[in-house]
Amino acid sequence: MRGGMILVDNTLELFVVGIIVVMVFSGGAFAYNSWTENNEERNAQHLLDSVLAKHDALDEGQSNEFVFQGFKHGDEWYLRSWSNTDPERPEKCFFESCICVCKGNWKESGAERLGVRAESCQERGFCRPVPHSFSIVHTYPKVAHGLTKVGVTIDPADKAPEILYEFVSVPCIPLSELALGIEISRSSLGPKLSSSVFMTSYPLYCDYEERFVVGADDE
Amino acid sequence: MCMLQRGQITPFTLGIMLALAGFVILAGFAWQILNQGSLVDREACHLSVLARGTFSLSPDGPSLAPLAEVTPLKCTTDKLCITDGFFGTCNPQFNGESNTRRVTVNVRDEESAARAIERETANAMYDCWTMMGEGKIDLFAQEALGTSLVNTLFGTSFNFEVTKPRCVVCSRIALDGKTVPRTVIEEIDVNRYLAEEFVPGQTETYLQKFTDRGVNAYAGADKADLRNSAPSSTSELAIVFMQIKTPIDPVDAFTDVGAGAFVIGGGGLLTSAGRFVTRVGGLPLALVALAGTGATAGYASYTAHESQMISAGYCGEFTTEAEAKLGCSLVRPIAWSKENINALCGGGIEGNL
Repeated sequence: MRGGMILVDNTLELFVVGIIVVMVFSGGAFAYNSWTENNEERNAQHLLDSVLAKHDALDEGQSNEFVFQGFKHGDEWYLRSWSNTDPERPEKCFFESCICVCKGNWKESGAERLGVRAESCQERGFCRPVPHSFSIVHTYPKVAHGLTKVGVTIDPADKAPEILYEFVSVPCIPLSELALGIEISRSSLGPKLSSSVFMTSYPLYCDYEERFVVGADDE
Repeated sequence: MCMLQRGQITPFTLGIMLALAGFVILAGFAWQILNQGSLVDREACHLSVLARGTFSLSPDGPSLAPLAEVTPLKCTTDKLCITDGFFGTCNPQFNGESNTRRVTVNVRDEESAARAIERETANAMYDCWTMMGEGKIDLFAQEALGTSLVNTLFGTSFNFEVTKPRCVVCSRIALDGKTVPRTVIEEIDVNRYLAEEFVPGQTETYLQKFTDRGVNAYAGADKADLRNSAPSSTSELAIVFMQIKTPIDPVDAFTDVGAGAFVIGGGGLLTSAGRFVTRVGGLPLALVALAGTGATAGYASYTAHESQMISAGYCGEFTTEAEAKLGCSLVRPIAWSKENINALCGGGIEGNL
Protein backbone atom coordinates (compact mmCIF):
# COMPACT_ATOMS: atom_id res chain seq x y z
CA MET A 1 0.00 0.00 0.00
CA ARG A 2 2.80 2.38 0.95
CA GLY A 3 4.76 1.38 -2.18
CA GLY A 4 1.67 2.03 -4.25
CA MET A 5 1.37 5.51 -2.79
CA ILE A 6 4.99 6.27 -3.65
CA LEU A 7 4.33 5.13 -7.21
CA VAL A 8 1.25 7.33 -7.48
CA ASP A 9 3.07 10.33 -5.99
CA ASN A 10 5.92 10.00 -8.51
CA THR A 11 3.89 9.08 -11.56
CA LEU A 12 4.32 12.49 -13.15
CA GLU A 13 8.06 12.54 -12.52
CA LEU A 14 8.49 9.03 -13.90
CA PHE A 15 6.46 9.96 -16.95
CA VAL A 16 8.57 13.06 -17.59
CA VAL A 17 11.82 11.18 -17.07
CA GLY A 18 10.60 8.52 -19.49
CA ILE A 19 9.83 11.14 -22.09
CA ILE A 20 13.25 12.71 -21.64
CA VAL A 21 15.00 9.39 -22.01
CA VAL A 22 13.06 8.68 -25.21
CA MET A 23 13.79 12.17 -26.54
CA VAL A 24 17.49 11.92 -25.80
CA PHE A 25 17.82 8.51 -27.43
CA SER A 26 15.71 9.38 -30.47
CA GLY A 27 17.53 12.70 -30.81
CA GLY A 28 20.84 10.89 -30.71
CA ALA A 29 19.68 8.36 -33.27
CA PHE A 30 18.37 11.14 -35.50
CA ALA A 31 21.62 13.07 -35.23
CA TYR A 32 23.65 9.95 -36.00
CA ASN A 33 21.51 9.09 -39.02
CA SER A 34 21.64 12.65 -40.21
CA TRP A 35 25.40 12.62 -39.82
CA THR A 36 26.01 9.40 -41.73
CA GLU A 37 23.54 7.61 -43.97
CA ASN A 38 21.44 10.52 -45.13
CA ASN A 39 24.40 12.13 -46.86
CA GLU A 40 24.49 9.35 -49.42
CA GLU A 41 20.76 9.22 -49.93
CA ARG A 42 20.47 12.96 -50.18
CA ASN A 43 23.18 13.05 -52.81
CA ALA A 44 21.45 10.32 -54.81
CA GLN A 45 18.12 12.17 -54.68
CA HIS A 46 19.82 15.42 -55.55
CA LEU A 47 21.40 13.87 -58.62
CA LEU A 48 18.06 12.45 -59.76
CA ASP A 49 16.35 15.81 -59.30
CA SER A 50 19.16 17.54 -61.19
CA VAL A 51 18.75 15.15 -64.11
CA LEU A 52 15.02 15.83 -64.27
CA ALA A 53 15.43 19.59 -63.93
CA LYS A 54 18.01 19.69 -66.69
CA HIS A 55 15.74 17.62 -68.91
CA ASP A 56 12.82 19.94 -68.23
CA ALA A 57 14.95 22.95 -69.11
CA LEU A 58 15.75 21.58 -72.56
CA ASP A 59 13.69 22.59 -75.55
CA GLU A 60 12.00 20.00 -77.70
CA GLY A 61 14.58 18.35 -79.93
CA GLN A 62 17.49 19.54 -77.81
CA SER A 63 20.22 17.34 -76.45
CA ASN A 64 23.19 18.13 -74.24
CA GLU A 65 25.80 16.31 -72.19
CA PHE A 66 25.88 17.40 -68.57
CA VAL A 67 28.53 16.66 -65.98
CA PHE A 68 27.25 15.36 -62.66
CA GLN A 69 29.38 15.27 -59.57
CA GLY A 70 29.95 11.85 -58.05
CA PHE A 71 29.62 11.16 -54.35
CA LYS A 72 30.90 8.71 -51.78
CA HIS A 73 29.39 5.25 -52.35
CA GLY A 74 27.87 6.61 -55.56
CA ASP A 75 29.04 3.45 -57.31
CA GLU A 76 26.44 1.51 -55.36
CA TRP A 77 23.58 3.44 -56.97
CA TYR A 78 22.01 3.44 -60.41
CA LEU A 79 19.40 5.28 -62.45
CA ARG A 80 16.54 3.28 -63.90
CA SER A 81 13.24 4.21 -65.52
CA TRP A 82 9.99 2.25 -65.48
CA SER A 83 7.02 2.47 -67.78
CA ASN A 84 3.52 2.57 -66.36
CA THR A 85 2.80 -0.55 -68.40
CA ASP A 86 5.66 -2.48 -66.83
CA PRO A 87 4.22 -4.87 -64.25
CA GLU A 88 7.63 -5.17 -62.58
CA ARG A 89 7.82 -1.49 -61.66
CA PRO A 90 8.24 -0.59 -58.00
CA GLU A 91 5.05 -0.12 -56.05
CA LYS A 92 6.05 3.40 -55.10
CA CYS A 93 5.58 4.39 -58.75
CA PHE A 94 1.85 3.61 -58.32
CA PHE A 95 0.12 3.80 -61.70
CA GLU A 96 2.59 6.19 -63.31
CA SER A 97 5.77 5.95 -65.28
CA CYS A 98 8.71 6.86 -63.11
CA ILE A 99 12.42 7.33 -62.97
CA CYS A 100 14.27 6.08 -59.93
CA VAL A 101 17.67 6.23 -58.36
CA CYS A 102 18.19 2.99 -56.47
CA LYS A 103 20.82 1.38 -54.35
CA GLY A 104 22.08 -1.68 -56.18
CA ASN A 105 22.49 -5.19 -54.90
CA TRP A 106 25.33 -5.99 -57.20
CA LYS A 107 27.26 -7.75 -54.48
CA GLU A 108 24.74 -10.53 -54.59
CA SER A 109 25.36 -12.96 -57.37
CA GLY A 110 23.53 -15.05 -59.91
CA ALA A 111 19.89 -15.88 -59.48
CA GLU A 112 19.64 -13.96 -56.22
CA ARG A 113 19.90 -10.80 -58.24
CA LEU A 114 17.10 -11.70 -60.61
CA GLY A 115 14.05 -9.64 -59.94
CA VAL A 116 15.71 -7.87 -57.08
CA ARG A 117 16.03 -4.56 -58.87
CA ALA A 118 12.45 -3.44 -58.49
CA GLU A 119 12.70 -4.49 -54.87
CA SER A 120 15.84 -2.47 -54.34
CA CYS A 121 14.13 0.56 -55.88
CA GLN A 122 11.14 -0.03 -53.66
CA GLU A 123 13.15 -0.47 -50.50
CA ARG A 124 16.21 1.70 -51.00
CA GLY A 125 15.33 3.88 -53.93
CA PHE A 126 13.81 7.24 -54.67
CA CYS A 127 11.38 7.58 -57.53
CA ARG A 128 9.85 10.54 -59.31
CA PRO A 129 6.75 10.24 -61.49
CA VAL A 130 7.27 11.34 -65.09
CA PRO A 131 4.79 11.70 -67.97
CA HIS A 132 6.77 9.31 -70.15
CA SER A 133 9.34 6.77 -69.07
CA PHE A 134 12.92 7.65 -69.92
CA SER A 135 14.82 5.63 -72.44
CA ILE A 136 18.09 4.84 -70.67
CA VAL A 137 21.16 3.51 -72.41
CA HIS A 138 24.51 2.90 -70.77
CA THR A 139 27.30 1.60 -72.96
CA TYR A 140 30.45 -0.06 -71.73
CA PRO A 141 33.16 -2.36 -73.11
CA LYS A 142 32.38 -5.97 -72.42
CA VAL A 143 36.05 -6.89 -72.37
CA ALA A 144 36.53 -4.86 -69.23
CA HIS A 145 34.73 -7.59 -67.34
CA GLY A 146 36.90 -10.29 -68.82
CA LEU A 147 33.88 -11.82 -70.48
CA THR A 148 34.89 -11.48 -74.08
CA LYS A 149 37.97 -10.17 -75.75
CA VAL A 150 36.82 -9.53 -79.27
CA GLY A 151 40.18 -9.25 -80.92
CA VAL A 152 43.68 -7.87 -80.90
CA THR A 153 45.33 -6.33 -83.93
CA ILE A 154 48.88 -5.14 -84.45
CA ASP A 155 49.47 -1.76 -86.00
CA PRO A 156 52.23 -2.38 -88.57
CA ALA A 157 53.61 1.12 -88.04
CA ASP A 158 54.58 0.83 -84.40
CA LYS A 159 53.75 -2.78 -83.65
CA ALA A 160 51.64 -1.59 -80.76
CA PRO A 161 48.80 -3.95 -79.98
CA GLU A 162 45.36 -2.48 -80.29
CA ILE A 163 42.64 -4.14 -78.29
CA LEU A 164 39.23 -4.11 -79.87
CA TYR A 165 36.25 -3.95 -77.59
CA GLU A 166 32.74 -5.08 -78.05
CA PHE A 167 30.45 -2.51 -76.53
CA VAL A 168 27.21 -3.57 -74.96
CA SER A 169 24.35 -1.46 -73.70
CA VAL A 170 22.26 -1.84 -70.58
CA PRO A 171 19.05 -0.03 -69.61
CA CYS A 172 20.35 1.61 -66.47
CA ILE A 173 23.09 4.08 -65.65
CA PRO A 174 25.42 3.18 -62.80
CA LEU A 175 26.42 6.19 -60.77
CA SER A 176 29.94 6.75 -59.62
CA GLU A 177 32.24 8.30 -57.07
CA LEU A 178 33.79 10.15 -59.99
CA ALA A 179 32.33 12.78 -62.27
CA LEU A 180 29.70 11.37 -64.56
CA GLY A 181 28.72 12.55 -68.01
CA ILE A 182 25.10 11.96 -68.95
CA GLU A 183 23.64 13.03 -72.26
CA ILE A 184 20.08 14.17 -71.80
CA SER A 185 17.78 14.38 -74.81
CA ARG A 186 14.30 15.72 -75.16
CA SER A 187 12.47 14.79 -78.32
CA SER A 188 9.09 13.79 -79.63
CA LEU A 189 10.18 10.17 -79.27
CA GLY A 190 10.42 10.67 -75.53
CA PRO A 191 13.04 11.58 -72.97
CA LYS A 192 16.37 9.81 -73.13
CA LEU A 193 19.44 9.50 -70.92
CA SER A 194 22.63 8.01 -72.23
CA SER A 195 26.11 7.57 -70.89
CA SER A 196 29.14 5.53 -71.71
CA VAL A 197 32.43 4.50 -70.22
CA PHE A 198 35.46 3.31 -72.09
CA MET A 199 37.01 1.38 -69.26
CA THR A 200 35.46 0.17 -66.08
CA SER A 201 36.99 -1.77 -63.28
CA TYR A 202 33.94 -2.21 -61.10
CA PRO A 203 31.21 -4.81 -61.49
CA LEU A 204 28.23 -3.46 -63.33
CA TYR A 205 25.22 -4.49 -61.35
CA CYS A 206 22.97 -3.06 -64.02
CA ASP A 207 23.79 -5.78 -66.46
CA TYR A 208 22.58 -8.92 -64.81
CA GLU A 209 19.70 -9.26 -67.27
CA GLU A 210 22.14 -8.96 -70.12
CA ARG A 211 24.33 -11.70 -68.67
CA PHE A 212 21.32 -13.83 -67.95
CA VAL A 213 20.09 -13.50 -71.53
CA VAL A 214 23.53 -14.38 -72.85
CA GLY A 215 23.58 -17.44 -70.64
CA ALA A 216 20.13 -18.48 -71.82
CA ASP A 217 21.15 -18.06 -75.45
CA ASP A 218 24.20 -20.21 -74.88
CA GLU A 219 22.03 -22.99 -73.67
CA MET B 1 4.32 17.85 5.38
CA CYS B 2 4.83 20.88 3.23
CA MET B 3 1.82 21.49 1.03
CA LEU B 4 2.35 23.21 -2.30
CA GLN B 5 0.17 26.10 -3.13
CA ARG B 6 -1.60 26.31 -6.48
CA GLY B 7 0.86 27.42 -9.16
CA GLN B 8 3.95 26.42 -7.20
CA ILE B 9 6.38 23.94 -8.74
CA THR B 10 8.75 21.56 -7.03
CA PRO B 11 12.53 21.88 -7.50
CA PHE B 12 12.42 18.53 -9.28
CA THR B 13 9.90 19.78 -11.83
CA LEU B 14 11.89 22.97 -12.27
CA GLY B 15 14.99 20.90 -12.91
CA ILE B 16 13.14 18.84 -15.48
CA MET B 17 11.89 21.95 -17.23
CA LEU B 18 15.36 23.47 -17.32
CA ALA B 19 16.79 20.21 -18.63
CA LEU B 20 14.14 20.14 -21.35
CA ALA B 21 14.86 23.75 -22.28
CA GLY B 22 18.57 22.97 -22.44
CA PHE B 23 17.90 19.94 -24.58
CA VAL B 24 15.79 21.96 -27.01
CA ILE B 25 18.49 24.63 -27.29
CA LEU B 26 21.20 22.01 -27.88
CA ALA B 27 19.02 20.17 -30.38
CA GLY B 28 18.41 23.43 -32.22
CA PHE B 29 22.12 24.10 -32.34
CA ALA B 30 22.85 20.60 -33.59
CA TRP B 31 20.09 20.94 -36.17
CA GLN B 32 21.71 24.12 -37.47
CA ILE B 33 25.06 22.42 -37.79
CA LEU B 34 23.79 19.21 -39.32
CA ASN B 35 21.43 20.80 -41.78
CA GLN B 36 23.86 23.33 -43.04
CA GLY B 37 22.08 26.55 -43.58
CA SER B 38 23.91 28.63 -46.14
CA LEU B 39 25.84 30.58 -43.52
CA VAL B 40 26.99 27.55 -41.60
CA ASP B 41 28.03 25.54 -44.67
CA ARG B 42 31.67 26.36 -44.30
CA GLU B 43 31.67 25.85 -40.57
CA ALA B 44 29.87 22.52 -40.89
CA CYS B 45 32.41 21.45 -43.48
CA HIS B 46 35.34 22.53 -41.35
CA LEU B 47 33.85 20.79 -38.34
CA SER B 48 33.54 17.54 -40.24
CA VAL B 49 37.10 17.92 -41.52
CA LEU B 50 38.31 18.37 -37.97
CA ALA B 51 36.26 15.37 -36.87
CA ARG B 52 37.93 13.22 -39.48
CA GLY B 53 41.31 14.57 -38.55
CA THR B 54 40.65 13.81 -34.90
CA PHE B 55 39.59 10.27 -35.62
CA SER B 56 42.66 9.76 -37.82
CA LEU B 57 44.82 10.47 -34.78
CA SER B 58 45.27 7.91 -32.10
CA PRO B 59 47.96 9.02 -29.70
CA ASP B 60 47.77 6.23 -27.14
CA GLY B 61 44.39 4.61 -26.89
CA PRO B 62 42.58 2.29 -29.29
CA SER B 63 42.51 3.23 -32.94
CA LEU B 64 39.67 5.49 -33.98
CA ALA B 65 40.55 5.33 -37.67
CA PRO B 66 37.38 3.37 -38.58
CA LEU B 67 35.36 6.26 -37.20
CA ALA B 68 37.17 8.62 -39.55
CA GLU B 69 36.05 6.45 -42.44
CA VAL B 70 32.37 6.62 -41.54
CA THR B 71 32.37 10.29 -40.63
CA PRO B 72 31.02 11.98 -43.72
CA LEU B 73 32.45 15.21 -44.96
CA LYS B 74 29.63 17.71 -44.60
CA CYS B 75 31.00 19.85 -47.38
CA THR B 76 28.44 21.02 -49.89
CA THR B 77 29.59 22.29 -53.25
CA ASP B 78 28.97 26.02 -53.38
CA LYS B 79 27.61 26.92 -56.80
CA LEU B 80 28.34 30.49 -57.67
CA CYS B 81 26.77 32.15 -60.67
CA ILE B 82 28.41 35.37 -61.79
CA THR B 83 26.02 37.43 -63.83
CA ASP B 84 24.96 40.96 -64.69
CA GLY B 85 21.40 41.68 -63.84
CA PHE B 86 19.00 40.70 -61.14
CA PHE B 87 17.41 37.89 -63.10
CA GLY B 88 20.57 36.57 -64.71
CA THR B 89 21.05 32.82 -64.59
CA CYS B 90 23.89 30.50 -65.39
CA ASN B 91 22.21 28.17 -67.79
CA PRO B 92 22.91 25.53 -68.81
CA GLN B 93 25.63 25.11 -66.17
CA PHE B 94 23.37 25.32 -63.12
CA ASN B 95 20.07 24.24 -64.60
CA GLY B 96 18.14 22.46 -61.91
CA GLU B 97 20.94 22.70 -59.35
CA SER B 98 20.35 23.60 -55.73
CA ASN B 99 22.70 25.51 -53.41
CA THR B 100 23.32 28.13 -56.06
CA ARG B 101 23.98 31.73 -55.25
CA ARG B 102 24.25 34.67 -57.57
CA VAL B 103 26.88 37.40 -57.60
CA THR B 104 25.94 40.40 -59.68
CA VAL B 105 28.67 42.36 -61.42
CA ASN B 106 28.34 45.54 -63.43
CA VAL B 107 29.75 44.64 -66.83
CA ARG B 108 29.53 48.23 -68.06
CA ASP B 109 32.59 48.83 -65.89
CA GLU B 110 34.76 46.07 -67.26
CA GLU B 111 37.63 46.53 -64.84
CA SER B 112 35.53 46.42 -61.69
CA ALA B 113 33.59 43.45 -63.05
CA ALA B 114 36.84 41.59 -63.70
CA ARG B 115 38.10 42.44 -60.20
CA ALA B 116 34.86 41.17 -58.69
CA ILE B 117 35.21 37.86 -60.53
CA GLU B 118 38.85 37.62 -59.43
CA ARG B 119 37.80 38.32 -55.84
CA GLU B 120 35.11 35.65 -55.85
CA THR B 121 37.48 33.09 -57.34
CA ALA B 122 40.29 33.95 -54.93
CA ASN B 123 37.91 33.77 -51.96
CA ALA B 124 36.59 30.42 -53.14
CA MET B 125 40.13 29.07 -53.28
CA TYR B 126 41.04 30.50 -49.91
CA ASP B 127 37.83 29.27 -48.25
CA CYS B 128 38.40 25.82 -49.67
CA TRP B 129 41.96 25.79 -48.44
CA THR B 130 41.09 26.86 -44.91
CA MET B 131 38.01 24.63 -44.68
CA MET B 132 40.16 21.63 -45.46
CA GLY B 133 42.66 22.40 -42.73
CA GLU B 134 45.20 23.88 -45.15
CA GLY B 135 45.86 20.43 -46.50
CA LYS B 136 47.57 19.16 -43.36
CA ILE B 137 44.78 16.91 -42.15
CA ASP B 138 44.53 13.33 -43.32
CA LEU B 139 41.04 13.31 -44.79
CA PHE B 140 40.61 10.23 -46.86
CA ALA B 141 40.89 6.56 -46.09
CA GLN B 142 42.70 5.53 -49.19
CA GLU B 143 43.66 2.31 -50.80
CA ALA B 144 46.92 1.82 -52.60
CA LEU B 145 46.72 2.59 -56.28
CA GLY B 146 49.66 0.53 -57.41
CA THR B 147 52.51 1.62 -59.58
CA SER B 148 51.26 0.60 -63.01
CA LEU B 149 48.16 2.77 -63.00
CA VAL B 150 50.10 5.68 -61.55
CA ASN B 151 52.63 5.41 -64.31
CA THR B 152 49.87 5.30 -66.88
CA LEU B 153 48.26 8.38 -65.39
CA PHE B 154 51.38 10.45 -65.06
CA GLY B 155 53.30 9.09 -68.02
CA THR B 156 56.37 8.55 -65.91
CA SER B 157 58.00 5.86 -63.85
CA PHE B 158 57.24 5.76 -60.18
CA ASN B 159 58.92 3.02 -58.24
CA PHE B 160 56.63 3.25 -55.25
CA GLU B 161 52.97 2.89 -54.58
CA VAL B 162 50.79 5.92 -54.01
CA THR B 163 47.13 6.06 -53.14
CA LYS B 164 44.32 7.16 -55.37
CA PRO B 165 43.84 10.91 -55.13
CA ARG B 166 40.46 11.82 -53.65
CA CYS B 167 38.73 15.14 -53.90
CA VAL B 168 36.15 17.47 -52.52
CA VAL B 169 34.60 19.90 -55.00
CA CYS B 170 34.45 23.02 -52.84
CA SER B 171 32.92 25.38 -55.40
CA ARG B 172 31.77 25.64 -58.93
CA ILE B 173 31.96 29.10 -60.41
CA ALA B 174 30.05 29.74 -63.61
CA LEU B 175 29.92 32.83 -65.77
CA ASP B 176 26.60 33.78 -67.26
CA GLY B 177 27.44 33.68 -70.94
CA LYS B 178 24.46 35.84 -71.84
CA THR B 179 25.47 38.83 -69.74
CA VAL B 180 29.21 38.62 -69.04
CA PRO B 181 30.97 39.67 -72.25
CA ARG B 182 34.25 38.31 -73.52
CA THR B 183 35.93 41.68 -72.97
CA VAL B 184 35.37 41.29 -69.23
CA ILE B 185 36.56 37.70 -69.27
CA GLU B 186 39.77 38.75 -70.97
CA GLU B 187 40.47 41.21 -68.15
CA ILE B 188 40.44 38.51 -65.49
CA ASP B 189 43.81 37.69 -63.93
CA VAL B 190 43.30 35.67 -60.78
CA ASN B 191 47.02 35.04 -60.32
CA ARG B 192 47.74 38.72 -60.06
CA TYR B 193 44.86 39.15 -57.64
CA LEU B 194 46.16 36.35 -55.42
CA ALA B 195 49.64 37.85 -55.36
CA GLU B 196 48.65 41.49 -54.78
CA GLU B 197 45.44 41.59 -52.79
CA PHE B 198 45.04 41.01 -49.08
CA VAL B 199 42.77 38.36 -47.69
CA PRO B 200 39.75 40.22 -46.22
CA GLY B 201 40.45 41.28 -42.66
CA GLN B 202 44.09 40.20 -42.78
CA THR B 203 47.44 41.76 -43.51
CA GLU B 204 48.72 39.08 -45.87
CA THR B 205 48.01 38.44 -49.51
CA TYR B 206 46.29 35.28 -50.65
CA LEU B 207 49.62 34.08 -52.02
CA GLN B 208 51.31 34.66 -48.69
CA LYS B 209 48.56 32.83 -46.86
CA PHE B 210 48.99 29.90 -49.22
CA THR B 211 52.77 29.91 -48.68
CA ASP B 212 54.54 32.12 -46.18
CA ARG B 213 55.15 35.83 -45.73
CA GLY B 214 58.38 35.75 -47.72
CA VAL B 215 56.72 34.76 -50.96
CA ASN B 216 55.50 37.65 -53.03
CA ALA B 217 55.72 36.71 -56.69
CA TYR B 218 55.59 33.81 -59.05
CA ALA B 219 58.65 32.31 -60.61
CA GLY B 220 59.37 33.41 -64.14
CA ALA B 221 60.20 29.88 -65.10
CA ASP B 222 56.65 28.84 -64.45
CA LYS B 223 55.27 31.52 -66.69
CA ALA B 224 57.57 30.35 -69.43
CA ASP B 225 56.22 26.85 -68.93
CA LEU B 226 52.72 28.15 -69.27
CA ARG B 227 53.39 29.78 -72.59
CA ASN B 228 54.17 26.34 -73.96
CA SER B 229 50.98 24.83 -72.66
CA ALA B 230 47.94 24.20 -74.74
CA PRO B 231 45.17 26.78 -74.41
CA SER B 232 41.63 25.87 -73.59
CA SER B 233 38.50 27.70 -72.59
CA THR B 234 35.71 27.28 -70.11
CA SER B 235 32.76 29.16 -68.73
CA GLU B 236 32.77 27.18 -65.50
CA LEU B 237 35.53 26.48 -63.05
CA ALA B 238 35.56 24.02 -60.21
CA ILE B 239 37.64 24.75 -57.13
CA VAL B 240 38.73 21.26 -56.16
CA PHE B 241 40.56 20.09 -53.08
CA MET B 242 42.62 16.99 -53.81
CA GLN B 243 44.67 14.84 -51.45
CA ILE B 244 47.04 12.03 -52.26
CA LYS B 245 49.27 10.03 -49.94
CA THR B 246 52.67 8.51 -50.51
CA PRO B 247 54.95 6.43 -48.30
CA ILE B 248 58.02 8.54 -49.23
CA ASP B 249 58.78 12.26 -49.29
CA PRO B 250 56.24 13.58 -51.77
CA VAL B 251 58.39 16.50 -52.87
CA ASP B 252 61.19 14.17 -53.85
CA ALA B 253 58.76 11.77 -55.37
CA PHE B 254 56.92 14.18 -57.55
CA THR B 255 59.70 16.55 -58.51
CA ASP B 256 62.21 13.83 -59.26
CA VAL B 257 59.95 12.06 -61.70
CA GLY B 258 58.91 15.21 -63.50
CA ALA B 259 55.32 15.22 -62.37
CA GLY B 260 55.79 18.72 -61.03
CA ALA B 261 53.09 20.18 -63.19
CA PHE B 262 50.64 18.02 -61.35
CA VAL B 263 51.57 18.90 -57.82
CA ILE B 264 54.37 21.33 -57.40
CA GLY B 265 55.13 23.06 -60.65
CA GLY B 266 58.45 23.47 -62.31
CA GLY B 267 60.28 26.32 -60.66
CA GLY B 268 58.50 27.06 -57.43
CA LEU B 269 58.13 30.61 -56.24
CA LEU B 270 60.19 33.74 -55.96
CA THR B 271 60.90 34.97 -52.47
CA SER B 272 61.48 38.62 -51.68
CA ALA B 273 65.19 37.84 -52.00
CA GLY B 274 64.61 36.55 -55.50
CA ARG B 275 65.25 32.90 -54.67
CA PHE B 276 63.09 29.98 -55.51
CA VAL B 277 61.27 28.39 -52.65
CA THR B 278 60.34 24.78 -52.72
CA ARG B 279 61.07 23.94 -49.11
CA VAL B 280 60.96 26.05 -46.03
CA GLY B 281 62.80 25.21 -42.83
CA GLY B 282 63.99 21.85 -44.08
CA LEU B 283 60.48 20.48 -44.38
CA PRO B 284 58.22 20.62 -47.35
CA LEU B 285 55.65 23.22 -46.48
CA ALA B 286 52.98 25.06 -48.32
CA LEU B 287 53.64 25.39 -51.98
CA VAL B 288 51.97 27.18 -54.78
CA ALA B 289 52.22 25.87 -58.27
CA LEU B 290 51.41 27.44 -61.55
CA ALA B 291 49.70 24.54 -63.18
CA GLY B 292 51.20 23.97 -66.56
CA THR B 293 48.58 21.96 -68.32
CA GLY B 294 45.86 22.97 -70.68
CA ALA B 295 43.33 21.30 -68.47
CA THR B 296 43.95 23.82 -65.74
CA ALA B 297 42.45 26.73 -67.52
CA GLY B 298 41.51 30.13 -66.27
CA TYR B 299 38.45 31.84 -67.65
CA ALA B 300 40.48 33.67 -70.27
CA SER B 301 43.04 31.07 -71.02
CA TYR B 302 42.08 30.92 -74.64
CA THR B 303 43.53 34.36 -75.08
CA ALA B 304 46.22 34.59 -72.42
CA HIS B 305 48.17 31.64 -71.13
CA GLU B 306 49.44 33.73 -68.24
CA SER B 307 45.90 33.79 -66.93
CA GLN B 308 46.01 30.11 -66.15
CA MET B 309 45.57 29.88 -62.49
CA ILE B 310 47.79 28.69 -59.71
CA SER B 311 47.16 25.79 -57.42
CA ALA B 312 47.77 26.08 -53.72
CA GLY B 313 49.20 23.01 -52.15
CA TYR B 314 50.84 21.41 -49.18
CA CYS B 315 53.28 18.56 -49.40
CA GLY B 316 54.53 16.95 -46.26
CA GLU B 317 53.45 14.92 -43.28
CA PHE B 318 49.80 14.60 -42.40
CA THR B 319 48.45 14.48 -38.90
CA THR B 320 47.44 10.84 -38.97
CA GLU B 321 48.21 7.44 -37.54
CA ALA B 322 48.00 5.83 -40.96
CA GLU B 323 51.03 4.10 -42.42
CA ALA B 324 51.20 6.46 -45.36
CA LYS B 325 51.73 9.72 -43.51
CA LEU B 326 53.20 11.69 -46.35
CA GLY B 327 51.48 13.21 -49.27
CA CYS B 328 50.23 16.29 -50.98
CA SER B 329 47.06 18.31 -50.74
CA LEU B 330 46.07 20.73 -53.40
CA VAL B 331 43.43 23.33 -54.09
CA ARG B 332 43.17 23.59 -57.80
CA PRO B 333 40.87 25.52 -60.10
CA ILE B 334 40.03 23.39 -63.11
CA ALA B 335 37.59 23.59 -65.95
CA TRP B 336 34.43 21.71 -65.01
CA SER B 337 34.46 18.65 -67.22
CA LYS B 338 34.22 14.95 -66.64
CA GLU B 339 37.69 14.35 -68.06
CA ASN B 340 39.42 16.99 -65.94
CA ILE B 341 37.73 16.03 -62.70
CA ASN B 342 38.33 12.33 -63.15
CA ALA B 343 41.95 12.86 -64.16
CA LEU B 344 42.56 14.73 -60.93
CA CYS B 345 40.34 12.69 -58.60
CA GLY B 346 40.93 9.07 -59.58
CA GLY B 347 39.95 7.83 -56.14
CA GLY B 348 36.58 9.52 -56.11
CA ILE B 349 34.79 12.60 -54.87
CA GLU B 350 33.41 13.18 -51.40
CA GLY B 351 31.07 15.79 -50.04
CA ASN B 352 27.57 16.82 -50.95
CA LEU B 353 26.31 17.85 -54.37
